[in-house]
Amino acid sequence: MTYLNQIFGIIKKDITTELRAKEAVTAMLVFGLMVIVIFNFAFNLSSQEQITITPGLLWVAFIFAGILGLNHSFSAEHENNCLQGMMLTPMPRSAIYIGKLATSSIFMFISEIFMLFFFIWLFDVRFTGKWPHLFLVMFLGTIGYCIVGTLFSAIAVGTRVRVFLLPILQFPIVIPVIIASVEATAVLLEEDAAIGYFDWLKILLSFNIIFFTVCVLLFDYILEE
Amino acid sequence: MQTNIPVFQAQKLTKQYGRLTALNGIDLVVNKGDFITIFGANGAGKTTFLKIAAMLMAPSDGTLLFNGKLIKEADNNARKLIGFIAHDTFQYHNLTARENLRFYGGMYDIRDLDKQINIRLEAVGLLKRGDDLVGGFSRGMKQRLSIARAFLHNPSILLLDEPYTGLDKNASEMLNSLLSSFNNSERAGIMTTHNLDQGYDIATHVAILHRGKIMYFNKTKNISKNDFSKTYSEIVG
Repeated sequence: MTYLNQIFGIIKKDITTELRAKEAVTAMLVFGLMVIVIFNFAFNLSSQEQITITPGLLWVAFIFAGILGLNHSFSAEHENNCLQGMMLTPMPRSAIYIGKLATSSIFMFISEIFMLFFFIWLFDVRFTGKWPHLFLVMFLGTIGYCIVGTLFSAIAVGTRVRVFLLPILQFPIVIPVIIASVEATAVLLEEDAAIGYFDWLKILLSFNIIFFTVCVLLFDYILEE
Repeated sequence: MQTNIPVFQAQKLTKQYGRLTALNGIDLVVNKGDFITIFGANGAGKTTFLKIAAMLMAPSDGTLLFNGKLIKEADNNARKLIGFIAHDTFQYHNLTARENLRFYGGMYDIRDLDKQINIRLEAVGLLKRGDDLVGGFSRGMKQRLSIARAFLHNPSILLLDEPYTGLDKNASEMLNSLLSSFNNSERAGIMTTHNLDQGYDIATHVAILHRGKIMYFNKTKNISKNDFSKTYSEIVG
């Protein structure tokens, strides 16, 4: 059994259970759409304000919705102590982390796609010709957010206050991801999209590489305790 | 017949939860061919001991050797040889019985996994319910599936934590039959229970764990069930 097969085993299991229960994606989507509707009523933006403010609103909707998915990620494993069931197998602990990270990112990304089009429809923002750039930012931003969130979700799941603990632990750490994602998205709404876009992407990529390495190394100790 | 190759060797094993000492300097040697039943009242430290033996938990102090190697070094290779039946069933309610076994079995190198799954499901009497969601199973059926999972990769060391929980008479007999076929000179087992009737007959050795300490250890051939029962009452009260 290769390492990759073990990771794919977790992804397949999580997707199968999600397709049947429809818990994580539905919760993220409903919550995210409600946040966007509330923002739409709360802000009456001019065209210039749209460029500066809407990227932030979009990412706030993403991260608020995403926290629900991350909370669900390990709480599903907590039922019947399935996490311990996985720990009994010869699978390396890092495979558990990577498998859970992959499914959290997939579920969050799917929700974001729906939220994005709803947001565009309500706020009338234009990403014409810049869709690949936008999806790349969403992809890297989502992964960066989930890299940290998956680790903290594993820490929080064993506590009584996991619903409160996860955002309190996670948000301070992912501030660079949120800033870089918002700024990169804002650049795409401006006339000259090339300026600054790749600089923000480099920050996202660097954050992801550094924190992925750290989280993989830390995950062993977290499960042990 | 015993070959006297220590499978597990606990040396001064201690586990503390804050100020509470759950295990207090446990020394225990388990050889191939041994089936040790550890008796103890609730809170004696039985589950903690098995979780440490299954490498789910690190001890606060002391060492656990697996086939002569420190447990940290044995790690993933040791896990391949361990089967564990615990209080928790480790099952996903939104997966079928077969999907649960396929998920866990997929983490081991098992040839003909689907065939092995059918064999184990049949052994525990769940073959016809294999494609049903586990969420609809009774506690006893979940425990049967838990037994199938523990035996799926043909482990050479079996750890059982109160395995009769939730089992009816037929299922208990099924488990006894599986354990009897499991016992041979190449394998070893450790079972914890507080029920004398269920634990004594299957064991080659019996131990009494009380307040985190092994207070008694003997071969079953050296002590009758009645005498052991009296000893247990004297120690545990």
